[in-house]
Amino acid sequence: MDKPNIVFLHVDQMHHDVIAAYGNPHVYTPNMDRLVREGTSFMSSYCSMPQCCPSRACWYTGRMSKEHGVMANPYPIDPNIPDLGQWLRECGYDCAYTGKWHVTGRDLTGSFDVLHRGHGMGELQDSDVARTAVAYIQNREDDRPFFLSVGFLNPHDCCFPAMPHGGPAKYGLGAKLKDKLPPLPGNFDYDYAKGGRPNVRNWSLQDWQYYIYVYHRMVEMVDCEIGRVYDTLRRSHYADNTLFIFASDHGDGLAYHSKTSKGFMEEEAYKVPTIVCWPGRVPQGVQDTGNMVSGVDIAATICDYAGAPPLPKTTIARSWRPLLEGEEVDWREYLVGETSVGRVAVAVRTDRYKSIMNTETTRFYDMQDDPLETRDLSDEPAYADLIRQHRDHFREYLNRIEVFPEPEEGRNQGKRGNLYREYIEWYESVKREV
Amino acid sequence: MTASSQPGIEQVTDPYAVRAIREYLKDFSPVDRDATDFENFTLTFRIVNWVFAPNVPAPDPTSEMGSLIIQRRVRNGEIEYQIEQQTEVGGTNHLEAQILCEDNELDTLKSWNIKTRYMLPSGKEDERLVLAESGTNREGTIRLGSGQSFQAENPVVSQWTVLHHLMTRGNEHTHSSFELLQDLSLFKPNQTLMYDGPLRIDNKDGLNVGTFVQIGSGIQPIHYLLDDQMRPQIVTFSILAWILKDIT
Repeated sequence: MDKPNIVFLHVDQMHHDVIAAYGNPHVYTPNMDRLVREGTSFMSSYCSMPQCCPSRACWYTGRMSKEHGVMANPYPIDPNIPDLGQWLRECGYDCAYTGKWHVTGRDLTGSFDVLHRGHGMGELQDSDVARTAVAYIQNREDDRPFFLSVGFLNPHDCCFPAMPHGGPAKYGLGAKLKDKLPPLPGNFDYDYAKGGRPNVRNWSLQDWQYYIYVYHRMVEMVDCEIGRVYDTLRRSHYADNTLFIFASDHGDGLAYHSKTSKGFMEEEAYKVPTIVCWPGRVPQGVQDTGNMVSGVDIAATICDYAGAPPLPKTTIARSWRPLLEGEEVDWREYLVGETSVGRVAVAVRTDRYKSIMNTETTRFYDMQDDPLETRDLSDEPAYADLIRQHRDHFREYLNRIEVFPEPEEGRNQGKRGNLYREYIEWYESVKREV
Repeated sequence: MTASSQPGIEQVTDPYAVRAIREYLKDFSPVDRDATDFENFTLTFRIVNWVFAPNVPAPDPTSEMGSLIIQRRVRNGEIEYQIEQQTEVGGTNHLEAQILCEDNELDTLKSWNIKTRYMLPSGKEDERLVLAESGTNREGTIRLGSGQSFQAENPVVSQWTVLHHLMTRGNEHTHSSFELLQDLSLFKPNQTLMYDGPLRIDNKDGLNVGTFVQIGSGIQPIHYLLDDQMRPQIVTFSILAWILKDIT
């Protein structure tokens, strides 16, 4: 068979639970619903690191954030690490990119044929980006297989109404839309809200609901753009030979645990929607709840389907192809994600349990009985063995990855100073625990 | 203090209809040209956007990013619109559209052509990215030239053609339902347009406007601000806004 075309369409900051087909009655998402119907949804999908640049660098390099060194947004990627665009070009692919990129320090033009450079606001860029993607699919005459990466911004525009002063949002309208405002999530911390904590966010409960309302509308905005691109692809002569992957770089607080934004390891920021479509090749309408997948796997999956060797130093990433093609395969027992936003931390996820560790503490949750992460079980003696097991998983993970070293003085340091030493020292100490 | 008694940010963001462009409005000069023919007109707008400036205390700056011309003509019992839009977003984005509408309260869409072009920041046009599309709406069945179709339950309008409805029929009792075909491509059903009260704009001379709000799927609340002659002086989306530059 000819090499398949590959479309990797990604959104920014989409919470895992804002697709109507998954049961959310407060959003209207006919286009993502179509992806759900026509593809396989990974329901236990996590980003590698819940912030834009690190997560995106994982997508495109197949390395974890502490391996490629982009451990927080301002930190540039090592120029010697190859990305998917460069890699697939070597394998004969026409690699095109449109929209948001945001891999710090990597000039996109060196890796892709850039269609539209995008803009930092979804309301401004997403329609133009969609039109360039549609035009590219309709107008291209190149005989080579293509890898098209489409970067939409929304619902990332939620960062603006999430500003403590409300940004540009029309919060005063909330009172007039009371009957249309969605409820707060089950783990919204009412004590937090009653306590006020105005230094953090002086929002009323109605303000929080209005935030969710505008977030849902942003999801619907980008849903329409997703539909344009996907429908064009399905109606094109590329339809039968194109793998389509949909993912988000991370989630959003969306009032869960009274949070907005990302960077933390609770499910609202860490878990992401992920759907793969290829009618005739990928099972349709399947919601895979058993297999944990990671954003870092996307590079391995794309390389696998493209017939390209794995990107160098692929340690954690695994191709989803055997899962999508129904092969019997020993899949991973646990998944690790990392963050350096705020204090350095990791999450270890197993089938039923989840731990969130930082340099001093460990929180532990039973995700089957407590999917909203409201009861920390770390002090319960009955869970001591499981917590130790999660620590072992973390240590095993550290022994598998090749940690990005602290750069020489004055080189490669982001605006927040030297964050490298923080994780290097912690990881070394964890490895020495046994 | 209980949560419900907190003041909330809705109070500090008031007047919410112009929250995103309140700095811009300090120097705002409304169009004062008399306009009498609301059947045949040309509206020229500046397109401005709120600018994310995390290190600048609110209120935040506004930037001008493009222009929009909406021309409406009545010819042989048909309503014709010509649209020209240009925005600077990652390069220059040109959009031209011709729309035929039904002669009814909402100027509902009948058929259209739309063409977009994209020029790189260098000024060079990328021919591969020219996109020409067409479409029809027959009794609620919308068909795009691409083959995509949608079924509308309500009248279908575009963001450019809905202004006429407000200019000619907007009042305190306005309450309209329709489907939005944004950019003549993106189907966004269940839109409601209603009166949202009077507002005084604190520009140098002060301007009294009536405000109308549109809510629905796939959009952030849109506000239309019309003056006492029903000229659409300002339209605010979320980050974007249209500022009337001329009316003829």
